[in-house]
Amino acid sequence: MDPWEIIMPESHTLKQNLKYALITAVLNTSIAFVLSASIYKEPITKQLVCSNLIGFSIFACVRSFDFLYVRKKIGNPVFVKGAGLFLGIIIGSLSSWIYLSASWQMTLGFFFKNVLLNLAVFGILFGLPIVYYFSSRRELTASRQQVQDEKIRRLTIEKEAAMTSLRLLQAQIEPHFLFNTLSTVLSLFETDVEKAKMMILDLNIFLRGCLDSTRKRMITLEKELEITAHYMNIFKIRMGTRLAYSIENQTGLTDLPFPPLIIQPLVENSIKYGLEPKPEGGAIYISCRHLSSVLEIIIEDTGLGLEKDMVNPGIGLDNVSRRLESIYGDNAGLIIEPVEPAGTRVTIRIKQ
Amino acid sequence: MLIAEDEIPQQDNLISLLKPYEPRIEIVGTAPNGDDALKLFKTLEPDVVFLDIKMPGMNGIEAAKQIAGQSRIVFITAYDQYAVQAFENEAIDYILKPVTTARLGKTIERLENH
Repeated sequence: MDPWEIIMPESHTLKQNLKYALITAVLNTSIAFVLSASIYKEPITKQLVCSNLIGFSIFACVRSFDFLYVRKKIGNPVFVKGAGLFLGIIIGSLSSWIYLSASWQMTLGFFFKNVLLNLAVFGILFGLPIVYYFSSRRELTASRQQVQDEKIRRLTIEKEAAMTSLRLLQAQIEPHFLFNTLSTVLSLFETDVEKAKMMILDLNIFLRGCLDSTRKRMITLEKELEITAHYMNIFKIRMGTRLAYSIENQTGLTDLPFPPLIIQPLVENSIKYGLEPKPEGGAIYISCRHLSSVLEIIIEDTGLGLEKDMVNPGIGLDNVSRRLESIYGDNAGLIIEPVEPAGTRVTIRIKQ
Repeated sequence: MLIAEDEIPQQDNLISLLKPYEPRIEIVGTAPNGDDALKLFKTLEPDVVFLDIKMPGMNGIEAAKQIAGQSRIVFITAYDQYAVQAFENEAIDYILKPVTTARLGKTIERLENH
């Protein structure tokens, strides 16, 4: 490892600075030749020396200021560029004057009147791009890094969404749910065959909905409500009067794209933690509205309420929240709040 | 006999499975949760209680603790992890759902021998 890298910040390694110095030298030399050929008609050596003096002064000052900024956090990017350039021009000009007057016996007055102004103008003209190039490199790299980080973040979220979808599916085909449902179906064979058939049908449609959810990123709101209705039907047969529900879709949009297994897990939570443990049971109300391009879905239950619900937020709420974020980003929001006299309300708002 | 079971289909199923054992076994009442079961127990004083475990409010194990000694207890449940607790509460038997005629037969035998 380059020993300089240990004490120097990343953009100030020996390698980097040597590279920049070389570029500066090349630039200075080219400028010198151009000037010599076009404006000054002075001996090329003098041009070369002056050009490099100014160029390297600017280079040294800007790099030093930049180093102070990066390492010691003194100043800010604009100050670094501006002050470095300014100081560099002054030092460069002065050293040029010293050089020129040494060979020409130029007076300071003459220097100020004729030479400094030109030097300053050219210093700014050529110094600015150089300064900008050197200190912008870092900002450019930083912003590229940011884009890269953003990409990684997005991919991670997508991967998580896929994993949670999988886990969600595993939870749906969760042993206890299937087992209890089939148990009830078996019981119904003895006492009420029609109900048994209905229950198997509900289970069938619900499971098919779950499978679909792993294959499709989006279904429709209507489809999701249908899956949820069948899920609730299963529990209605098991819980009897202890579960009532209503689903209202006032959006009027039949083909509104909607991610699968968003509403159903929330209903599952309501039943599992809110209604099933409550002796008298309760009701679940689902309503969907579409107002000024915001889709609002409310899932409200008259169950035991938040404290009991939060004992095990578990798969449902977390997953739903994360999946909404991965699909809609900041355009989707999920709020949970208690309801009087008892119960919980979950509101999902999605900006379309 | 008193039956405590929160799901109606399961309750109906149990009742229909017990029908062949009439009049030896008479179902005097059913309760959908532990609290109601206890209330009925006090008024009806059955000598056998079939308890589901997972019920809203007071569950079957808690109800059993209150009944202990005063009646013969049989647990009927979907969950197998409460078996040890059940027998600590002097249960005569612990049946896993779904209940089959054969398994119920064994339980009735045990009850009659106690």
